[in-house]
Amino acid sequence: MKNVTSLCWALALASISLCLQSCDPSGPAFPVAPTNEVGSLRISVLSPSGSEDTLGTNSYSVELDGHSYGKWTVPCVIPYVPVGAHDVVVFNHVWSSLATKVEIKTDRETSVSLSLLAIGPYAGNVAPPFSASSIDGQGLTLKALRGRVVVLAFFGSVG
Amino acid sequence: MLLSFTSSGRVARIGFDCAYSESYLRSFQAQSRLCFPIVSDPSRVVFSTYGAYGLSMYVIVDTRGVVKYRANGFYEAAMSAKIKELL
Repeated sequence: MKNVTSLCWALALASISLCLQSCDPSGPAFPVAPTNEVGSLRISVLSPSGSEDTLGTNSYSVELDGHSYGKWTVPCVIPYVPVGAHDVVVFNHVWSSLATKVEIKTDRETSVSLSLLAIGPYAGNVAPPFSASSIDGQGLTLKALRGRVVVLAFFGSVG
Repeated sequence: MLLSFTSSGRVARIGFDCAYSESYLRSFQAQSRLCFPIVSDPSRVVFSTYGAYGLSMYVIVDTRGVVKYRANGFYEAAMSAKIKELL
């Protein structure tokens, strides 16, 4: 019985060790450029009233070129951003910025101030994102249609 | 007019339905020769996200993802004008 217990403990420790090796806690939670050609990006946001959100309490998801760079409390500085032009968007469940082009330069901090719009189905809002499949099995997202004018037709079930 | 914009590729149309079965919608799409995708949304996920409740509703989103038009009912002239403005 004692041997069985020891074996279980050994297996458990081995599993934990393997897990720790595969999940480097010090590693970045966002893509890192394969070269040293990186800079940093300072993001601040402006509310619809034009005031800067400096409280540091609101968390926003950051996307560069459609790829997630994790959640950040703004204003923030994102390190290790590949040099070049990128489309940056920040959003949470209430607010979203529009995609804005930024140019990252080597070993420099680039600042961008993004104006926020409310997410909602009314004119002037950022259209709520959705993900759906058509009856033909085609995957549809609003994000994938960026760059095109999109007409959403909701068929009536009444009258 | 609306269909001619759709075929240009610069305008995407998606139809959402929450009332009929997928098989009915497939035959409806074929019979009506609809050239845009139709989503069956019986649990009304997208319907409620967009505040569509029973009546026909149309929403036009611009190239940056901002809602520019929303109306209950199909007003082709108004929609065509809005699309033309956004292109």
